[in-house]
Amino acid sequence: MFDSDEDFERMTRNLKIDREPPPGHRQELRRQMLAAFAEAQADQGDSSPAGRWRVRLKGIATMRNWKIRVAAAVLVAGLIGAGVYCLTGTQSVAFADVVRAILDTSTVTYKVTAAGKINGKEVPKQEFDAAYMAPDRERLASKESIMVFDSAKGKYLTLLPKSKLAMIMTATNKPKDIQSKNTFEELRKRLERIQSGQKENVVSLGKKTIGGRAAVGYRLTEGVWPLTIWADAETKLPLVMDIELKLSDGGDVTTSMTDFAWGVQLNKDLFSLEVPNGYTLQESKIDMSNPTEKDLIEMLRTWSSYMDGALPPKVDMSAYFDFMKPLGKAMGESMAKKMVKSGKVKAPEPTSQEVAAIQEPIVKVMRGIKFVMNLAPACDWQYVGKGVKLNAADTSIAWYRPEKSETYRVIYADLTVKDMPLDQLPKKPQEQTR
Amino acid sequence: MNETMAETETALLGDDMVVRARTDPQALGSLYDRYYDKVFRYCLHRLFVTDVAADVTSSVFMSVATHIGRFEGTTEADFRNWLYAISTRQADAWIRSTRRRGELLKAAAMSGRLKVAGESQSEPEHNAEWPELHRAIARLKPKHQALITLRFFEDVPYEQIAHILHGKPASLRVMTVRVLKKLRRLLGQSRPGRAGDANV
Repeated sequence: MFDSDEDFERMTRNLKIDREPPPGHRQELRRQMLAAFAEAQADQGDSSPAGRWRVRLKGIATMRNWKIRVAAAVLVAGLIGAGVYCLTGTQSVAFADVVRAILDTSTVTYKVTAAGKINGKEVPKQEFDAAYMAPDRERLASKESIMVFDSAKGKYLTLLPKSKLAMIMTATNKPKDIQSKNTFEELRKRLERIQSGQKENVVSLGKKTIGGRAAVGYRLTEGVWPLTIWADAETKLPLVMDIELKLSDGGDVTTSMTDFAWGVQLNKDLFSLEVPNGYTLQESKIDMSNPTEKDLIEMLRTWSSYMDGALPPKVDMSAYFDFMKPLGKAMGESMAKKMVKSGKVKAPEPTSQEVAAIQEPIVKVMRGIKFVMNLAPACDWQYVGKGVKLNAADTSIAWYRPEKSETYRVIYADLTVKDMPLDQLPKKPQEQTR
Repeated sequence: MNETMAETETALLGDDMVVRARTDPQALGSLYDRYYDKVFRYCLHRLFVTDVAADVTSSVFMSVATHIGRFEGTTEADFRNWLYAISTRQADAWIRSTRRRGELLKAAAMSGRLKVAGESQSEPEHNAEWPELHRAIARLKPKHQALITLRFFEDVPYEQIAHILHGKPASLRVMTVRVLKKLRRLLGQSRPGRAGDANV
């Protein structure tokens, strides 16, 4: 018994209470909570290109399928740019352990979160549950779609469960030296190159605690897309991996991989390319050959055709994201017309041709950007097309020197190209962009 | 001085984490790691049965996951108050909706058929007070149960309890005196051989 507040306080303090939660509850609840959080976030809106279109097309409720299809098309277009990793660096023993641990594991599941800032605006997050099975299969699942990539077969399957639609894209003209085309596989290849002794630059980030685990960090600073790895100090397996895409407008997009479960048993059916019963199949092809100058010209033409004749201010990923805005608008208008014509509130299912029509300009723009991204620094790429309209008279917009060439290729606003020696090149403007 | 600076730094980190947790799963995960024990312990003190406390703790954090995107607090103190308020609501709801089942669970716990908090196998003789005290607390109104648990088991200051239970610190102090008096009476009644024993 107690006589006062103090007595009662003393009494409660001296109670022998077993305060241990049930075994495993803490970890399981954490997993469930983060999954629920991801779902809630997805419900509040995403802003992958498809998500941003969603905002633009607000009011046309029946656009759902289209948005997802375009998202898939965008993803595949992104794949075109995936083979651009290149890496150099130095290797510490500890980092070698981390690389070995990753390469020794043939299966992994993880969460992918992409977020960042483009053209000065925050891009809301987009999240996927991902699974990888060595050597070349990857699966990305969100609330609305499931995507399976089988690099060996060069096929990419997108399933839209709600509308029972399946899309298979087949890669054509894939160069022999670029075998892999999924994110995780590229990552492994990149690390494999380090392990095989390729010159490299790995910076140690020291230690920190992640989710209660002691972690060691490394940053691979060179290459087109810098990579940060925080690995479990004990198991050496990554807890967090961030791939950064820096844009020339100062923006950046970071793709974070978290919640890894390494070496888990995965059913091969997860990566099956078979179309489930009851699904309507739409097939298309995608050109995976190395882009050329012709692709760059085509990119400039396509971009300006959606931008009232304006040429892109830069030829990098920000141009790609800018391009999504008018494309989404055009798509929305087209669908609205279709709805009016059909007299139905719900938009009719898009045909394969319509899906291909959306995909085509995205692929063209992406291939042109990749051409520029692939140019070595020695190619001296210069772009001065900002503010210039297509077909402006006698206006040069870009130049570069092809490998092993004595002369430069100068591109004009009318998209003609001329060979020119160094001493006759246009004057460089103060602000140069990629 | 250094300690104060370190505390300030920790508080700022916590505040930053709360703001980021609206959109960042890592920050939310860190807050979870920081508060899981506190929430579970509070639920356990309120609900007595370990498995029930775990269930309610789950509801609390699932609710946090769903609503944190719209949480308007900006400091860790705001988050802590919000978390305790959710926990209180969930515990009250459990007590209200499962009164009969709760009685059965408690009775079962008391008869040793369930593992309950306080039943450490190595020191059973030291734990007799806890089930008895909990039975008495369980006979109070839910709000009074929350007040007593927050103040005396979780060591939460009255100013903070005022935010959690939507009251004024001075009123809560007065209320505590009254509730403790009642608790003393209930504990007296629950002594072996007294009327009303264990009929919680």
